Amino acid sequence: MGFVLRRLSASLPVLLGITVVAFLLIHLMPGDPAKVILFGSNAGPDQISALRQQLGLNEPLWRQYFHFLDQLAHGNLGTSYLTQNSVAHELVSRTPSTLVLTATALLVAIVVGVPLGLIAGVRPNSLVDRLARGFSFLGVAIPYFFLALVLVLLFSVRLQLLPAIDDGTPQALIIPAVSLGWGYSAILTRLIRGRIIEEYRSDYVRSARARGCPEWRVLLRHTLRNSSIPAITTIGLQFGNILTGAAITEVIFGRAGLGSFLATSITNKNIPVVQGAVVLIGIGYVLLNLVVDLIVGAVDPRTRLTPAIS
Amino acid sequence: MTGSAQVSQQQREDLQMADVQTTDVVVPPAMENAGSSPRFTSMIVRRIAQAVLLLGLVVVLLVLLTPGLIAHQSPIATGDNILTAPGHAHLFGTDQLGRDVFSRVVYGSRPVLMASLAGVALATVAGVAVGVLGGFAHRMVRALVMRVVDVLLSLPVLLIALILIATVGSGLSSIAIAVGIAFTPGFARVVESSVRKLRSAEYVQAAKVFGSGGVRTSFRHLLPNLATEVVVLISSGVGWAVLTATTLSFLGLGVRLPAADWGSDLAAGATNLSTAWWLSTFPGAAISLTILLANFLGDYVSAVLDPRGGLGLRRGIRSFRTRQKGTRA
Amino acid sequence: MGAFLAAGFAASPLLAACGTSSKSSSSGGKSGTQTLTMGIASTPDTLDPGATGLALTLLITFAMFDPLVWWLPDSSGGKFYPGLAKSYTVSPDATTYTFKLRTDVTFHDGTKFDATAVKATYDHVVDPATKSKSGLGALGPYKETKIIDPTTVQIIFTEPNASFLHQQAAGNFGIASPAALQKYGATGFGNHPVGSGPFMFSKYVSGDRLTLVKNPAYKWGPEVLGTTGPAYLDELIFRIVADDNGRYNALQSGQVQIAMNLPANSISAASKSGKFQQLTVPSIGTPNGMPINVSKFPTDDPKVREAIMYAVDQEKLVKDVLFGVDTAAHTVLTAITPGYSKSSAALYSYNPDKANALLDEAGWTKGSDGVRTKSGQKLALNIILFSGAGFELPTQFVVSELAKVGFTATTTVQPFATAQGSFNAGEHNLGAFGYYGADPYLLNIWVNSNAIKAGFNWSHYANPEIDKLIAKANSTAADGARGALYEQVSTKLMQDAAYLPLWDVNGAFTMAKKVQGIKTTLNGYILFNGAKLS
Repeated sequence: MGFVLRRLSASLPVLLGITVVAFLLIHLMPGDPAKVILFGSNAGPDQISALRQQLGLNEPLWRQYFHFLDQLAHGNLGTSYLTQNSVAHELVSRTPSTLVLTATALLVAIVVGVPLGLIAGVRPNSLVDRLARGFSFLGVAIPYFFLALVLVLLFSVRLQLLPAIDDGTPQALIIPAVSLGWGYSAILTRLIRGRIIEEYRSDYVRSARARGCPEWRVLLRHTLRNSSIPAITTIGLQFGNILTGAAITEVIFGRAGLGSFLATSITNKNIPVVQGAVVLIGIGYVLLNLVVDLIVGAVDPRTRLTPAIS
Repeated sequence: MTGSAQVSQQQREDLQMADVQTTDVVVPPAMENAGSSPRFTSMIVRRIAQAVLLLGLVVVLLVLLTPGLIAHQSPIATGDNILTAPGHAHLFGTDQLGRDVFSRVVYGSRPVLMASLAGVALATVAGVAVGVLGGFAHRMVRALVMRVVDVLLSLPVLLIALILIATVGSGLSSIAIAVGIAFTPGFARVVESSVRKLRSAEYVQAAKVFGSGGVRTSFRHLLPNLATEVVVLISSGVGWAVLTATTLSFLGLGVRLPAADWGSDLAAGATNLSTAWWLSTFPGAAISLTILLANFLGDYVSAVLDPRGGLGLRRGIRSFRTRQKGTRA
Repeated sequence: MGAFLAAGFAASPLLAACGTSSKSSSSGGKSGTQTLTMGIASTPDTLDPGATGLALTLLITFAMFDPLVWWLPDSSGGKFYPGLAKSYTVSPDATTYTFKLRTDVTFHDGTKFDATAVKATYDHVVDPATKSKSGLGALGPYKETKIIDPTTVQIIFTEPNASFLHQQAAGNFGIASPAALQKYGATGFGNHPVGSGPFMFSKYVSGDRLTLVKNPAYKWGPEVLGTTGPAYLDELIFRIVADDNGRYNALQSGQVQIAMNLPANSISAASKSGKFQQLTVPSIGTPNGMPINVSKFPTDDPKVREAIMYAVDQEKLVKDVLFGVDTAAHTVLTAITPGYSKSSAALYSYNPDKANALLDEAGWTKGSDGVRTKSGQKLALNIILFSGAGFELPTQFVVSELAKVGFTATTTVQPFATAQGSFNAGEHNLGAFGYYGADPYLLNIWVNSNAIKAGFNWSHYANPEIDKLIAKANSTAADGARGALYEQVSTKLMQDAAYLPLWDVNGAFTMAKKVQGIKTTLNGYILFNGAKLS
C-alpha cells in the first residue's frame, strides 16, 4: 500500500504537467473559441467579444490556469462547443469502448505473442523459430490500418461472418482487436524470444537444470517469469501508440470511443473536449504505468526494494 | 512518470530497447547463426543478407534521388483510362483520375521517407540534447527535465500531429515534426540513462581523479560511447517512424495534393478495395517492404555494434553494466 | 438561412443513412418488428431543430417534428401542403403570415397542439439562451408571434421577408411541445426533443446511435407521403459511422439498410452489384464549387478568373470522377433552387481555347514547361480545401484541367476550422464551398460585402450594387419579380467569375432493396412516414 502511495505521489508532477499542456491548448490552437462556438449563427463582433468575456479569455493567463485547475478539481471539464453537453459526461460515456478495444487487442497480442516467443526461444533455429521470426518481422511491417481494411473486406463483406461496424456484440470486436493487436503480438514474440534465449544461457538456469529441475519448471518458473518483465514494461511504454492505433481503428469500425472522439474534436476545434481528453489520457497513462510497476514488482520482487534512482 | 523513476537497472536496459519498435535484439539470421552453425554456411548466409540489404538500400536511394529513372510516367498526369487493372501499359494499373499507380508508388516513397528520416533526425538531436542535459545536470534539474519527458510520453503521436496541423497547417513538415516530438522522449530516456551509467563508469571516474574537467570528460569519454548507443537507437527507430508517418498521411494529414504519397493513396483507394484492389494494395505493400528493410537494417546495425555479434564496440558499456547490476541487486 | 453544406462541426450536411438493425433483420430476431437502421457520417450537434447548425440534424428531426406547412415534391414539381396549419395567408408586403391551425394534434408528451405551441417554438428560436444557429438566420427580421385565438396565429416581421414560407418548411421550425420546452429549458431540449412527428425520441448514445420509436397516435401526415397515419416502422435508428468505407461495408454486411452520402465510387459499385437501390435527392442552395478570390493575385484579374471558368469541364468531372452520381453545376444556385437562372448557367461552356486566348490577352505567356509567366511571376494558384467534404479528388481533376491551359497550383487540405480562418484571411486563390439553403436569399450569406472578414464571402467579393439587389429581392413578395431580381444577381456573379461551380451535391441514399416507401422533400431531406421493409 505504501508502495502504491509513493508511486502515486511521484506521478503528481507529471499529472500537473499534463494539466498545463491541456490548459495551454486553448491558446495554442489558432482561432477564437468564441467564433467557433458562434459558428453559423451570423453573430456580430459584439456578441463575440461578450462571449470572450464570459469565457474568461480576457483574464491573465495564470488566473485562467488556476480557474481551469479549480474546475478540474471539481470534476468539471466544461461544455462541448458542439453539443453544449458536459464534456466529462461525453468522455466518460466513450471511455469503456476504448478500454474494451485496447484490452482485447492486448489480449490478442499476449495470447499470440507469448507462446510463440516462448517456443521459438526454447528451440532456436527450429522451424517454429524461423516462422516466429518471420512473423515478428512481418507483424510490425504490415500497417494495422491496411490489415483492418483487408480483414473487413474478407470476413464482413465477402464471407459475411463478422460485423463490419460495431454493434455492441463480442463478435464485432474480433476484427478491430486482431488488426490492432497484431503488431504488438509481433513485438512480444520478438521480446520474449530474445529474452528466453538469453535466460537459457544464464547461470541460474544451468544450475537449476543441474539440480535436476524438470524442464517445464525451468521454463515457467524461471525463464518466462524473467522474460515477461520487458514485455510488461513495453506495454506501458507503448501507451501512446496503442491509443493512436485505437483512434484509427475506432474510425474505421464506427466505434464511439475516446480516440475517434478526440480526433474529430481536434479537427473541429472543440477545445474543452480536447482538454478533457488530454487530462483523461494523462491519468490513464499514469495509472497504466502504476499497474505495470505493480505487476513487475509482483513478478520480480527485487524491483520493489530498489531505491529510487532520481 | 512512475515507471522510469524507480525501475531497476535491469529494467532500464529493457526499457531502452522497448522504447523503439525493433526491440530486444533479435539478431538477423546471419548474425545469430554465427555461434551455433558451422562457420562456412554462416559466412554464406551473412553474405546473402548483406547483399540483400545493400540492394535494398540502392533501390531506396535510386527511388529517392531519381524516381524518373524508374517510373517513366508522371505521378500526377491524369489520363482517360481510369481504373484500369495492372497490365502492360500500367504495371500497377491506374487510379480514378487515370494516373499511373506504379509511378505514384515510386514517387510516393519520397514524402514518407523524407518525413520519417527528418523526424528521426529531429528526435535524435532533441533526444540527445535533453538526455545529456538530464544525465549531467543537478538532481533537481534532471528531475524536472525527466518529468517533462514523461508528460510528452503520455501524449499519443496522433494528438501531437493533429494539434500541429490545426496550428501550423498540414504538410510534410508537420508530420516530420510530429514524428520528431513523438520520438524525442524515448530517445531522451535512453540517452539520459546511458549518460548516467557512463558517468559513474570506472574509467570516467578515473579520468576525474586524474584531473580531467567535466566538459573534457564528456567529450573525450562519453561521446564516443554514446554515439554507439545513438546509432543503434536511430537505426532501430526508422521502421517505426515510417509506420507513424504513413499512419498520419493515411489520415490525410500529410501530403499536398495531387502529389503521390503512400498513406494518402492507400486511404484514397480504400473505398475501391473491392472493385480496384490495386489502388491500396501497392502502396500498402510498399509501406510493408520499407518497414521490413528498415527493421532489418536496424537489427543489422545493432548486431554489428553488439558485443555478441560483431565488432564489439559496445563491449565497454556491456561489461560495465554487468558489474553495476551486480552491485545494485 | 439553411445550413452550411460541408460544414464545420460535421463533415457533410446531408450525411445520414438508415437500415434495419442487425438484431431484428439479419438475425431474424423479433418477428413482426420493423427496424430500419441508417448509417450517417457525423454526430448531430443537438436534437433541437431550432438550435442546430447542421443539415444532418434537420434530416433527423424531420422524423420527430412537423412544420406548419410542408413543401413537398409532386407531379407538378412542388408545392406547399398543409402541415400543422390547415391554411395560411401572406400579407401583400410579405411582413405578416397568418396560419389557421389543426385541432386534432397531440405532442409526444401528451400536450395538445395549439397557437401557444407555435409561439413557444418561434420564441424559443430567438431566445439567446437557445444559441440558435441556422434557425435564427433563417428567421430573418422576426418581430413576434401573435396569438389571435387558439387556432389562429400570426408571425410578423419588422421588414418584408419573402423567403419565410420556404424557410419555415426547411426544418428549423418544426413545432415543439411548449410543455417540454418549459420542462427541459432552452438547451436541455436538445437532449429531450418532443414534437408531434411520426417518430418519438427514445435513446441517444452520444457519438454512436440515436434510436427513435413509432408514434402510434400519429394521424396528421401529408397525404403525398403515402400515409397520413402512424409509421410502418417500429424503430428508426441513426447509426453514426464517420468513415465512408465503414458505412459502405456496414451496408454490405447488412448492419445498416441505408447508407447516406457514400463516395461516388462506392455508389457506382453498389448500383453495379445489383444488390442495392439508389435514392438521389437533388440539393438546394449553392452547388459545391470553388470560390475564386477576387482580391488576391493572380485571380484579381477578371481575365484570369474567366479563363478558369472556361478551362474546367464539369461534365467530364461528373462523369469520370464522380461516376455520374451527381450533376454538373454551372451557376451559383442549383437547378431546383427558387431563383435559379438558366441564362447565368449558359455563360461559360468548356472551352480551353478561349481560356488560352484570355490568358494570352492578359499577358501570360506559356513557357517550355507549359506553365505561364508574366514579368517573372508564375501563373500559380494557391488552393485551400477543408477535409471531409469530398473535395480532394475533384480538386485534383480541376488542377489537371487548369494545368492544360498553363496554370500551376499547390493544394493544401486543412481541417474545417483552420480552413475557415485561411479563407477569411484571403490566403487562397481557390477555396471550397457549398451551401444548403431553401431560398435564394442564401446568396446574401456568401456574397454580402460584410461577410468577407468573418463570414462565408470567401470570394472576397465586395459589390454594394449586389448587396442592395439581394436586399431588394428579399423584400419583394411577388414570386416573378423576386425571380427576376435574383436572376440579375446570379448573372452578375457569374459574369464577374467569382465562383467556379463544379457539381450539385445530391443527397445520396444507398439502400438495401427491401427498403420501400422513403419519400424526399423538396429541400433535400428524406421522410420515413411511409417507409417499410419488405
